[in-house]
Amino acid sequence: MTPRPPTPSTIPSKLTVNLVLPYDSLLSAKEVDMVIVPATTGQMGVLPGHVATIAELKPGVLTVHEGNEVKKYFLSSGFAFIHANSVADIMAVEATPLDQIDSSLVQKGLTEFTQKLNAASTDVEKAEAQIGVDVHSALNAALTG
Amino acid sequence: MIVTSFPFFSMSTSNLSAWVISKPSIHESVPLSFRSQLNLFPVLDPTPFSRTNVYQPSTLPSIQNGVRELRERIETIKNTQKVTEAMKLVAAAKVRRAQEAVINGRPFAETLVEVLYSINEQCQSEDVEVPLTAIRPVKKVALVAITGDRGLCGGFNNAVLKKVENRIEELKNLGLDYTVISVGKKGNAYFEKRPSLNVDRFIGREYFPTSKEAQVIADNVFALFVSEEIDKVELIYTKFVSLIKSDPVICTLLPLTAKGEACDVKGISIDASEDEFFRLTTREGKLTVERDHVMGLKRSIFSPNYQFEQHPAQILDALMPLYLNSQILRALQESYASELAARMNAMSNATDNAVELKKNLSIAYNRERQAKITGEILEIIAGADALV
Repeated sequence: MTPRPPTPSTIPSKLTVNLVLPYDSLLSAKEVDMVIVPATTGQMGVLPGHVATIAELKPGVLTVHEGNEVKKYFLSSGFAFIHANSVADIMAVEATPLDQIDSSLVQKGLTEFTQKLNAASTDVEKAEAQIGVDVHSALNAALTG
Repeated sequence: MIVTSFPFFSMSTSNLSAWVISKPSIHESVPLSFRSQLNLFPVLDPTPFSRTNVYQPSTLPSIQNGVRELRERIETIKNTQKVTEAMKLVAAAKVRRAQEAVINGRPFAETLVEVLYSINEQCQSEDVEVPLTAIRPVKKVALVAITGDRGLCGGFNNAVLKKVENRIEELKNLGLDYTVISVGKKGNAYFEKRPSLNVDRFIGREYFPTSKEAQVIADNVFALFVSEEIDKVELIYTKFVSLIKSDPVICTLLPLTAKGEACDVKGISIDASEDEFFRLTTREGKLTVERDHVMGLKRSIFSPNYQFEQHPAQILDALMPLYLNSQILRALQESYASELAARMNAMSNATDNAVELKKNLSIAYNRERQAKITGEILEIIAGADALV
Protein backbone atom coordinates (compact mmCIF):
# COMPACT_ATOMS: atom_id res chain seq x y z
CA MET A 1 0.00 0.00 0.00
CA THR A 2 1.36 3.40 -0.91
CA PRO A 3 1.28 6.18 1.67
CA ARG A 4 -1.91 8.13 1.66
CA PRO A 5 -1.94 11.42 -0.32
CA PRO A 6 -2.74 14.56 1.67
CA THR A 7 -6.28 15.96 1.72
CA PRO A 8 -6.82 17.97 -1.46
CA SER A 9 -8.49 21.34 -1.35
CA THR A 10 -10.84 20.57 -4.23
CA ILE A 11 -13.09 17.56 -4.40
CA PRO A 12 -11.55 14.89 -6.64
CA SER A 13 -13.60 13.46 -9.46
CA LYS A 14 -13.10 9.81 -8.64
CA LEU A 15 -13.29 7.68 -5.53
CA THR A 16 -10.45 5.23 -4.88
CA VAL A 17 -11.73 1.95 -3.54
CA ASN A 18 -9.84 -0.87 -1.81
CA LEU A 19 -11.81 -4.00 -1.07
CA VAL A 20 -9.72 -6.24 1.17
CA LEU A 21 -10.35 -9.66 2.68
CA PRO A 22 -8.20 -11.44 5.26
CA TYR A 23 -6.66 -13.59 2.59
CA ASP A 24 -6.85 -11.47 -0.55
CA SER A 25 -7.52 -8.03 -2.03
CA LEU A 26 -10.42 -8.08 -4.45
CA LEU A 27 -10.10 -4.44 -5.47
CA SER A 28 -7.05 -2.37 -4.84
CA ALA A 29 -6.82 1.32 -5.67
CA LYS A 30 -9.64 1.15 -8.19
CA GLU A 31 -10.98 4.48 -9.40
CA VAL A 32 -14.77 4.52 -9.37
CA ASP A 33 -17.63 7.01 -9.36
CA MET A 34 -19.63 5.73 -6.41
CA VAL A 35 -19.97 2.82 -4.05
CA ILE A 36 -22.97 1.79 -1.99
CA VAL A 37 -22.09 -0.06 1.17
CA PRO A 38 -24.52 -2.02 3.36
CA ALA A 39 -23.96 -0.33 6.71
CA THR A 40 -25.79 -1.58 9.79
CA THR A 41 -27.77 1.65 9.71
CA GLY A 42 -28.80 1.06 6.10
CA GLN A 43 -27.48 1.42 2.58
CA MET A 44 -24.91 4.18 2.46
CA GLY A 45 -23.78 5.81 -0.74
CA VAL A 46 -20.24 7.12 -0.93
CA LEU A 47 -19.26 9.74 -3.51
CA PRO A 48 -15.92 11.42 -4.00
CA GLY A 49 -15.42 14.04 -1.35
CA HIS A 50 -17.39 12.14 1.28
CA VAL A 51 -16.67 13.14 4.84
CA ALA A 52 -14.31 10.88 6.74
CA THR A 53 -16.40 8.08 8.25
CA ILE A 54 -16.05 4.76 9.99
CA ALA A 55 -18.99 2.44 9.50
CA GLU A 56 -19.74 -1.12 10.48
CA LEU A 57 -21.26 -3.26 7.76
CA LYS A 58 -23.96 -5.90 7.90
CA PRO A 59 -24.31 -8.79 5.45
CA GLY A 60 -25.43 -7.30 2.20
CA VAL A 61 -24.53 -6.13 -1.24
CA LEU A 62 -21.72 -3.77 -2.09
CA THR A 63 -22.39 -1.98 -5.36
CA VAL A 64 -19.56 -0.41 -7.29
CA HIS A 65 -20.52 2.14 -9.95
CA GLU A 66 -17.93 2.83 -12.60
CA GLY A 67 -19.28 4.88 -15.49
CA ASN A 68 -22.13 2.75 -16.81
CA GLU A 69 -20.77 -0.41 -15.28
CA VAL A 70 -22.23 -1.72 -12.05
CA LYS A 71 -20.48 -4.52 -10.18
CA LYS A 72 -22.10 -6.15 -7.19
CA TYR A 73 -20.38 -8.08 -4.41
CA PHE A 74 -21.99 -9.83 -1.51
CA LEU A 75 -20.23 -9.06 1.77
CA SER A 76 -20.60 -11.20 4.85
CA SER A 77 -19.79 -8.31 7.19
CA GLY A 78 -16.96 -5.93 7.83
CA PHE A 79 -16.04 -2.28 8.05
CA ALA A 80 -15.97 0.68 5.73
CA PHE A 81 -13.30 3.24 6.41
CA ILE A 82 -13.66 6.41 4.36
CA HIS A 83 -10.85 8.93 4.44
CA ALA A 84 -11.02 12.64 3.84
CA ASN A 85 -9.13 12.36 0.55
CA SER A 86 -11.74 10.21 -1.20
CA VAL A 87 -10.14 6.87 -0.47
CA ALA A 88 -12.48 4.18 0.76
CA ASP A 89 -11.12 1.05 2.45
CA ILE A 90 -13.73 -1.64 2.70
CA MET A 91 -12.72 -4.58 4.83
CA ALA A 92 -14.89 -7.66 4.65
CA VAL A 93 -14.48 -11.04 6.23
CA GLU A 94 -15.84 -12.71 3.11
CA ALA A 95 -16.92 -11.25 -0.20
CA THR A 96 -17.94 -12.81 -3.50
CA PRO A 97 -19.22 -11.34 -6.76
CA LEU A 98 -22.97 -11.90 -7.00
CA ASP A 99 -22.80 -13.91 -10.19
CA GLN A 100 -20.90 -16.63 -8.36
CA ILE A 101 -23.70 -17.32 -5.90
CA ASP A 102 -26.06 -20.24 -6.52
CA SER A 103 -29.66 -19.16 -5.84
CA SER A 104 -31.04 -22.67 -5.28
CA LEU A 105 -28.51 -23.23 -2.50
CA VAL A 106 -29.54 -19.89 -0.99
CA GLN A 107 -33.20 -20.96 -0.92
CA LYS A 108 -32.32 -24.26 0.61
CA GLY A 109 -30.18 -22.60 3.27
CA LEU A 110 -32.90 -20.12 4.09
CA THR A 111 -35.56 -22.79 4.65
CA GLU A 112 -33.11 -24.87 6.66
CA PHE A 113 -32.20 -22.03 8.99
CA THR A 114 -35.81 -20.91 9.40
CA GLN A 115 -36.66 -24.44 10.52
CA LYS A 116 -33.72 -24.43 12.89
CA LEU A 117 -34.85 -21.14 14.34
CA ASN A 118 -38.33 -22.51 15.00
CA ALA A 119 -36.95 -25.68 16.54
CA ALA A 120 -34.25 -23.94 18.59
CA SER A 121 -34.50 -24.36 22.34
CA THR A 122 -31.36 -22.85 23.85
CA ASP A 123 -30.24 -19.26 23.40
CA VAL A 124 -27.08 -20.35 21.61
CA GLU A 125 -29.04 -22.33 19.05
CA LYS A 126 -31.47 -19.46 18.58
CA ALA A 127 -28.64 -16.99 18.01
CA GLU A 128 -26.92 -19.25 15.51
CA ALA A 129 -30.12 -19.93 13.62
CA GLN A 130 -30.96 -16.23 13.61
CA ILE A 131 -27.58 -15.40 12.10
CA GLY A 132 -28.12 -18.02 9.42
CA VAL A 133 -31.55 -16.62 8.61
CA ASP A 134 -30.20 -13.06 8.42
CA VAL A 135 -27.37 -13.95 6.08
CA HIS A 136 -29.50 -16.09 3.80
CA SER A 137 -32.33 -13.59 3.56
CA ALA A 138 -29.80 -10.90 2.73
CA LEU A 139 -28.36 -13.18 0.05
CA ASN A 140 -31.85 -13.81 -1.24
CA ALA A 141 -32.66 -10.13 -1.35
CA ALA A 142 -29.36 -9.47 -3.09
CA LEU A 143 -30.06 -12.01 -5.78
CA THR A 144 -33.63 -10.99 -6.44
CA GLY A 145 -33.35 -7.26 -5.83
CA MET B 1 38.18 -86.86 -11.60
CA ILE B 2 40.03 -87.47 -8.37
CA VAL B 3 43.27 -85.94 -9.57
CA THR B 4 41.64 -82.71 -10.72
CA SER B 5 39.57 -82.13 -7.63
CA PHE B 6 42.51 -82.72 -5.26
CA PRO B 7 44.11 -79.21 -5.44
CA PHE B 8 40.75 -77.54 -4.93
CA PHE B 9 40.25 -79.58 -1.85
CA SER B 10 43.63 -78.66 -0.37
CA MET B 11 43.31 -74.97 -1.20
CA SER B 12 40.07 -74.45 0.56
CA THR B 13 40.47 -76.86 3.38
CA SER B 14 39.62 -74.27 5.98
CA ASN B 15 36.23 -73.66 4.43
CA LEU B 16 35.44 -77.25 3.83
CA SER B 17 36.49 -78.37 7.25
CA ALA B 18 33.24 -76.97 8.50
CA TRP B 19 31.28 -79.17 6.17
CA VAL B 20 33.49 -82.12 6.96
CA ILE B 21 32.93 -81.77 10.68
CA SER B 22 29.23 -81.29 10.29
CA LYS B 23 28.81 -84.52 8.41
CA PRO B 24 30.41 -87.12 10.67
CA SER B 25 28.20 -89.90 9.39
CA ILE B 26 29.93 -89.87 6.04
CA HIS B 27 33.32 -90.10 7.74
CA GLU B 28 32.47 -93.04 9.96
CA SER B 29 30.46 -95.09 7.52
CA VAL B 30 32.89 -95.02 4.63
CA PRO B 31 36.40 -94.38 6.05
CA LEU B 32 38.24 -95.83 3.09
CA SER B 33 36.04 -94.63 0.25
CA PHE B 34 37.98 -91.43 -0.15
CA ARG B 35 36.98 -91.31 -3.74
CA SER B 36 33.30 -91.24 -3.07
CA GLN B 37 33.80 -88.53 -0.47
CA LEU B 38 35.64 -86.30 -2.81
CA ASN B 39 33.03 -86.85 -5.47
CA LEU B 40 30.31 -85.93 -3.04
CA PHE B 41 31.66 -82.50 -2.17
CA PRO B 42 31.53 -80.78 -5.55
CA VAL B 43 27.97 -82.03 -6.02
CA LEU B 44 26.75 -81.01 -2.60
CA ASP B 45 28.34 -77.57 -2.62
CA PRO B 46 28.65 -76.21 -6.14
CA THR B 47 30.62 -73.10 -5.14
CA PRO B 48 32.27 -73.80 -1.82
CA PHE B 49 35.17 -71.48 -2.48
CA SER B 50 33.26 -68.34 -3.33
CA ARG B 51 34.28 -66.12 -0.44
CA THR B 52 31.80 -63.38 -1.20
CA ASN B 53 28.77 -65.56 -0.63
CA VAL B 54 29.92 -66.62 2.79
CA TYR B 55 27.92 -64.68 5.33
CA GLN B 56 29.90 -64.40 8.55
CA PRO B 57 28.00 -61.90 10.69
CA SER B 58 29.79 -62.86 13.86
CA THR B 59 33.18 -61.72 12.61
CA LEU B 60 32.26 -58.59 10.64
CA PRO B 61 30.50 -55.59 12.28
CA SER B 62 29.05 -54.02 9.11
CA ILE B 63 26.95 -55.57 6.37
CA GLN B 64 29.18 -54.21 3.64
CA ASN B 65 30.17 -57.66 2.57
CA GLY B 66 27.89 -59.18 -0.02
CA VAL B 67 27.73 -58.00 -3.61
CA ARG B 68 24.04 -58.73 -3.66
CA GLU B 69 23.45 -56.80 -0.44
CA LEU B 70 25.32 -53.82 -1.82
CA ARG B 71 23.31 -53.87 -4.99
CA GLU B 72 20.06 -53.96 -3.05
CA ARG B 73 21.17 -51.11 -0.85
CA ILE B 74 22.05 -49.00 -3.86
CA GLU B 75 18.60 -49.63 -5.32
CA THR B 76 16.91 -48.63 -2.07
CA ILE B 77 18.93 -45.45 -1.81
CA LYS B 78 18.13 -44.54 -5.39
CA ASN B 79 14.43 -44.85 -4.68
CA THR B 80 14.73 -42.85 -1.47
CA GLN B 81 16.55 -40.14 -3.34
CA LYS B 82 13.74 -39.88 -5.88
CA VAL B 83 11.20 -39.48 -3.08
CA THR B 84 13.16 -36.85 -1.18
CA GLU B 85 13.81 -34.86 -4.32
CA ALA B 86 10.12 -34.91 -5.20
CA MET B 87 9.22 -33.76 -1.70
CA LYS B 88 11.71 -30.94 -1.94
CA LEU B 89 10.20 -29.67 -5.19
CA VAL B 90 6.67 -29.90 -3.83
CA ALA B 91 7.63 -27.96 -0.72
CA ALA B 92 9.43 -25.36 -2.83
CA ALA B 93 6.36 -24.81 -4.97
CA LYS B 94 4.14 -24.48 -1.93
CA VAL B 95 6.44 -22.03 -0.16
CA ARG B 96 5.83 -19.44 -2.82
CA ARG B 97 2.07 -19.77 -2.49
CA ALA B 98 2.30 -19.59 1.28
CA GLN B 99 4.37 -16.43 1.04
CA GLU B 100 1.83 -14.93 -1.32
CA ALA B 101 -0.93 -15.71 1.16
CA VAL B 102 1.01 -13.86 3.86
CA ILE B 103 1.43 -10.86 1.57
CA ASN B 104 -2.20 -10.91 0.51
CA GLY B 105 -3.42 -10.92 4.05
CA ARG B 106 -1.38 -7.90 4.92
CA PRO B 107 -3.62 -5.07 3.58
CA PHE B 108 -6.50 -6.35 5.68
CA ALA B 109 -4.49 -6.51 8.88
CA GLU B 110 -2.91 -3.13 8.28
CA THR B 111 -6.18 -1.39 7.51
CA LEU B 112 -7.66 -2.85 10.67
CA VAL B 113 -4.76 -1.50 12.67
CA GLU B 114 -5.27 1.96 11.21
CA VAL B 115 -8.93 1.96 12.08
CA LEU B 116 -8.14 0.81 15.59
CA TYR B 117 -5.52 3.46 16.00
CA SER B 118 -7.71 6.30 14.80
CA ILE B 119 -10.64 5.21 16.92
CA ASN B 120 -8.41 5.01 19.96
CA GLU B 121 -6.98 8.43 19.23
CA GLN B 122 -10.41 9.94 19.03
CA CYS B 123 -11.89 8.11 21.94
CA GLN B 124 -9.25 8.96 24.44
CA SER B 125 -11.44 11.52 26.06
CA GLU B 126 -14.48 9.30 26.04
CA ASP B 127 -14.69 6.35 28.29
CA VAL B 128 -14.79 3.48 25.89
CA GLU B 129 -14.47 0.09 27.44
CA VAL B 130 -13.01 -2.63 25.35
CA PRO B 131 -12.73 -5.96 27.10
CA LEU B 132 -9.93 -7.22 24.95
CA THR B 133 -7.52 -4.48 25.97
CA ALA B 134 -8.15 -4.92 29.68
CA ILE B 135 -4.86 -5.27 31.51
CA ARG B 136 -5.31 -7.35 34.63
CA PRO B 137 -2.77 -8.64 37.11
CA VAL B 138 -1.62 -11.85 35.55
CA LYS B 139 -2.33 -15.09 37.36
CA LYS B 140 -2.80 -17.55 34.55
CA VAL B 141 -1.28 -17.49 31.10
CA ALA B 142 -2.43 -19.39 28.03
CA LEU B 143 0.25 -20.45 25.57
CA VAL B 144 -0.94 -21.16 22.04
CA ALA B 145 1.69 -23.35 20.36
CA ILE B 146 1.53 -23.66 16.59
CA THR B 147 3.24 -26.73 15.16
CA GLY B 148 2.97 -28.63 11.93
CA ASP B 149 0.94 -31.63 10.93
CA ARG B 150 3.51 -33.72 9.18
CA GLY B 151 7.08 -34.62 9.92
CA LEU B 152 10.15 -34.70 7.71
CA CYS B 153 10.73 -31.00 8.26
CA GLY B 154 13.99 -31.00 10.13
CA GLY B 155 14.06 -29.27 13.51
CA PHE B 156 10.96 -27.18 12.90
CA ASN B 157 8.51 -28.76 15.33
CA ASN B 158 11.16 -29.41 17.95
CA ALA B 159 12.23 -25.77 17.96
CA VAL B 160 8.70 -24.57 18.72
CA LEU B 161 8.11 -27.20 21.38
CA LYS B 162 11.42 -26.45 23.07
CA LYS B 163 10.47 -22.78 23.19
CA VAL B 164 7.14 -23.72 24.78
CA GLU B 165 8.91 -25.82 27.39
CA ASN B 166 11.29 -22.96 28.20
CA ARG B 167 8.43 -20.54 28.57
CA ILE B 168 6.62 -22.94 30.87
CA GLU B 169 9.75 -23.11 33.04
CA GLU B 170 9.94 -19.32 33.14
CA LEU B 171 6.32 -19.04 34.12
CA LYS B 172 6.73 -21.65 36.80
CA ASN B 173 9.67 -19.72 38.22
CA LEU B 174 7.58 -16.56 38.27
CA GLY B 175 4.94 -18.49 40.15
CA LEU B 176 2.32 -18.14 37.46
CA ASP B 177 -0.15 -20.75 36.42
CA TYR B 178 -0.23 -21.77 32.79
CA THR B 179 -2.19 -23.78 30.28
CA VAL B 180 -1.29 -24.87 26.78
CA ILE B 181 -3.43 -24.78 23.67
CA SER B 182 -1.81 -26.87 20.99
CA VAL B 183 -2.48 -26.40 17.29
CA GLY B 184 -1.15 -29.01 14.89
CA LYS B 185 -0.85 -32.78 15.07
CA LYS B 186 2.81 -32.84 16.02
CA GLY B 187 2.25 -30.60 19.00
CA ASN B 188 -0.82 -32.59 20.01
CA ALA B 189 1.14 -35.84 20.01
CA TYR B 190 3.93 -34.25 22.02
CA PHE B 191 1.64 -32.87 24.70
CA GLU B 192 -0.42 -36.01 24.92
CA LYS B 193 2.64 -37.84 26.11
CA ARG B 194 3.27 -35.22 28.74
CA PRO B 195 0.18 -34.69 30.83
CA SER B 196 0.90 -31.17 31.96
CA LEU B 197 -1.95 -28.67 32.05
CA ASN B 198 -3.61 -28.77 28.68
CA VAL B 199 -6.81 -27.15 27.59
CA ASP B 200 -7.59 -27.88 23.99
CA ARG B 201 -6.08 -29.74 21.17
CA PHE B 202 -7.06 -28.57 17.73
CA ILE B 203 -6.57 -31.49 15.51
CA GLY B 204 -4.47 -30.46 12.62
CA ARG B 205 -4.78 -27.88 10.02
CA GLU B 206 -6.05 -28.40 6.54
CA TYR B 207 -3.31 -27.90 4.03
CA PHE B 208 -3.64 -24.19 3.91
CA PRO B 209 -4.43 -22.06 6.93
CA THR B 210 -7.81 -20.40 6.44
CA SER B 211 -9.60 -17.79 8.44
CA LYS B 212 -12.12 -20.42 9.52
CA GLU B 213 -9.46 -22.27 11.49
CA ALA B 214 -8.16 -19.00 12.86
CA GLN B 215 -11.70 -18.26 13.96
CA VAL B 216 -11.92 -21.51 15.93
CA ILE B 217 -8.76 -20.66 17.84
CA ALA B 218 -9.83 -17.04 18.21
CA ASP B 219 -13.23 -17.99 19.65
CA ASN B 220 -11.64 -20.30 22.14
CA VAL B 221 -9.06 -17.77 23.27
CA PHE B 222 -11.61 -14.97 23.35
CA ALA B 223 -13.96 -16.95 25.57
CA LEU B 224 -11.17 -17.83 27.97
CA PHE B 225 -9.91 -14.28 28.17
CA VAL B 226 -13.25 -12.56 28.58
CA SER B 227 -14.41 -15.02 31.22
CA GLU B 228 -11.25 -14.05 33.14
CA GLU B 229 -10.00 -17.61 33.36
CA ILE B 230 -6.90 -16.47 31.54
CA ASP B 231 -5.23 -13.12 32.06
CA LYS B 232 -2.74 -13.22 29.22
CA VAL B 233 -2.53 -15.09 25.96
CA GLU B 234 0.76 -15.71 24.25
CA LEU B 235 1.22 -17.07 20.78
CA ILE B 236 4.26 -19.23 20.00
CA TYR B 237 4.90 -19.70 16.30
CA THR B 238 7.76 -19.74 13.83
CA LYS B 239 8.50 -16.52 12.09
CA PHE B 240 9.66 -16.77 8.52
CA VAL B 241 13.06 -15.09 8.44
CA SER B 242 14.52 -16.57 5.30
CA LEU B 243 14.37 -19.81 3.36
CA ILE B 244 17.15 -21.28 5.44
CA LYS B 245 16.44 -19.72 8.78
CA SER B 246 13.26 -19.54 10.80
CA ASP B 247 12.83 -18.41 14.37
CA PRO B 248 10.22 -19.45 16.87
CA VAL B 249 8.90 -16.30 18.56
CA ILE B 250 6.60 -15.63 21.45
CA CYS B 251 4.06 -12.94 20.76
CA THR B 252 1.53 -11.52 23.21
CA LEU B 253 -1.87 -11.86 21.65
CA LEU B 254 -4.10 -10.63 24.45
CA PRO B 255 -4.49 -8.11 25.97
CA LEU B 256 -4.29 -6.10 22.76
CA THR B 257 -2.16 -3.02 22.87
CA ALA B 258 -3.89 0.25 22.17
CA LYS B 259 -1.87 0.88 19.06
CA GLY B 260 -2.62 -2.55 17.71
CA GLU B 261 0.99 -3.48 17.15
CA ALA B 262 2.13 -7.02 17.70
CA CYS B 263 4.52 -6.93 20.60
CA ASP B 264 7.10 -9.31 21.85
CA VAL B 265 7.01 -10.47 25.45
CA LYS B 266 9.37 -7.67 26.36
CA GLY B 267 7.13 -5.12 24.71
CA ILE B 268 9.32 -4.68 21.64
CA SER B 269 7.32 -4.43 18.49
CA ILE B 270 7.91 -7.35 16.20
CA ASP B 271 5.91 -6.05 13.31
CA ALA B 272 7.90 -6.28 10.13
CA SER B 273 8.02 -2.87 8.57
CA GLU B 274 9.84 -4.04 5.51
CA ASP B 275 9.24 -7.53 4.35
CA GLU B 276 10.97 -9.59 1.78
CA PHE B 277 9.05 -11.49 -0.75
CA PHE B 278 10.69 -14.58 -2.15
CA ARG B 279 10.33 -15.70 -5.70
CA LEU B 280 11.29 -19.14 -6.81
CA THR B 281 12.77 -18.85 -10.26
CA THR B 282 15.13 -20.81 -12.43
CA ARG B 283 18.53 -19.62 -13.40
CA GLU B 284 20.73 -21.78 -15.61
CA GLY B 285 18.33 -24.62 -15.13
CA LYS B 286 18.66 -24.68 -11.37
CA LEU B 287 16.12 -23.51 -8.85
CA THR B 288 17.19 -20.34 -7.10
CA VAL B 289 15.52 -17.89 -4.81
CA GLU B 290 15.33 -14.19 -5.52
CA ARG B 291 14.20 -11.58 -3.11
CA ASP B 292 11.93 -8.67 -3.75
CA HIS B 293 11.27 -6.03 -1.18
CA VAL B 294 7.71 -5.18 -0.43
CA MET B 295 7.44 -1.63 0.81
CA GLY B 296 5.83 -1.58 4.19
CA LEU B 297 3.01 0.76 4.91
CA LYS B 298 4.28 4.05 6.17
CA ARG B 299 2.08 4.82 9.09
CA SER B 300 1.49 8.53 8.77
CA ILE B 301 -0.05 10.20 11.74
CA PHE B 302 -3.33 11.46 10.47
CA SER B 303 -5.97 12.88 12.67
CA PRO B 304 -8.96 13.98 10.69
CA ASN B 305 -12.13 13.76 12.68
CA TYR B 306 -13.97 10.68 11.69
CA GLN B 307 -17.70 10.52 11.73
CA PHE B 308 -18.94 7.40 13.39
CA GLU B 309 -21.95 5.82 11.81
CA GLN B 310 -22.43 3.78 14.90
CA HIS B 311 -21.29 4.33 18.41
CA PRO B 312 -17.50 3.86 18.68
CA ALA B 313 -17.92 1.30 21.43
CA GLN B 314 -20.03 -0.82 19.13
CA ILE B 315 -17.52 -0.48 16.34
CA LEU B 316 -14.65 -1.41 18.62
CA ASP B 317 -16.60 -4.38 19.91
CA ALA B 318 -16.96 -5.72 16.43
CA LEU B 319 -13.45 -4.75 15.39
CA MET B 320 -11.47 -6.46 18.13
CA PRO B 321 -12.49 -10.06 17.36
CA LEU B 322 -11.77 -9.41 13.71
CA TYR B 323 -8.36 -8.11 14.61
CA LEU B 324 -7.71 -11.10 16.83
CA ASN B 325 -8.67 -13.37 13.98
CA SER B 326 -6.34 -11.63 11.57
CA GLN B 327 -3.41 -11.84 13.99
CA ILE B 328 -3.91 -15.55 14.53
CA LEU B 329 -4.31 -16.11 10.81
CA ARG B 330 -1.07 -14.30 10.12
CA ALA B 331 0.72 -16.43 12.71
CA LEU B 332 -0.70 -19.59 11.12
CA GLN B 333 0.35 -18.51 7.65
CA GLU B 334 3.87 -17.60 8.68
CA SER B 335 4.18 -20.84 10.59
CA TYR B 336 3.05 -22.78 7.54
CA ALA B 337 5.52 -20.98 5.29
CA SER B 338 8.36 -21.71 7.74
CA GLU B 339 7.36 -25.36 7.92
CA LEU B 340 7.49 -25.63 4.15
CA ALA B 341 10.88 -23.93 4.03
CA ALA B 342 12.20 -26.28 6.73
CA ARG B 343 10.87 -29.29 4.85
CA MET B 344 12.46 -28.06 1.66
CA ASN B 345 15.82 -27.75 3.37
CA ALA B 346 15.57 -31.10 5.13
CA MET B 347 14.65 -32.88 1.90
CA SER B 348 17.38 -31.08 0.02
CA ASN B 349 19.96 -32.25 2.56
CA ALA B 350 18.53 -35.76 2.46
CA THR B 351 18.83 -35.82 -1.31
CA ASP B 352 22.44 -34.67 -1.17
CA ASN B 353 23.25 -37.28 1.44
CA ALA B 354 21.58 -39.96 -0.64
CA VAL B 355 23.62 -39.00 -3.69
CA GLU B 356 26.86 -39.15 -1.72
CA LEU B 357 25.97 -42.44 -0.07
CA LYS B 358 25.07 -43.95 -3.42
CA LYS B 359 28.39 -42.84 -4.84
CA ASN B 360 30.33 -44.40 -1.96
CA LEU B 361 28.36 -47.61 -2.09
CA SER B 362 28.79 -47.84 -5.85
CA ILE B 363 32.54 -47.60 -5.42
CA ALA B 364 32.51 -50.32 -2.77
CA TYR B 365 30.24 -52.45 -4.92
CA ASN B 366 32.48 -52.17 -7.93
CA ARG B 367 35.49 -52.98 -5.83
CA GLU B 368 33.85 -56.12 -4.48
CA ARG B 369 32.66 -57.15 -7.87
CA GLN B 370 36.13 -56.74 -9.39
CA ALA B 371 37.73 -58.60 -6.51
CA LYS B 372 35.37 -61.48 -7.04
CA ILE B 373 36.09 -61.62 -10.74
CA THR B 374 39.83 -61.44 -10.09
CA GLY B 375 39.56 -64.25 -7.57
CA GLU B 376 37.74 -66.49 -10.00
CA ILE B 377 40.25 -65.79 -12.73
CA LEU B 378 43.12 -66.53 -10.37
CA GLU B 379 41.61 -69.83 -9.36
CA ILE B 380 41.00 -70.85 -12.93
CA ILE B 381 44.58 -69.96 -13.80
CA ALA B 382 45.91 -71.82 -10.76
CA GLY B 383 43.85 -74.83 -11.67
CA ALA B 384 45.08 -74.68 -15.24
CA ASP B 385 48.68 -74.41 -13.97
CA ALA B 386 48.18 -77.43 -11.77
CA LEU B 387 47.14 -79.44 -14.78
CA VAL B 388 50.32 -78.68 -16.61
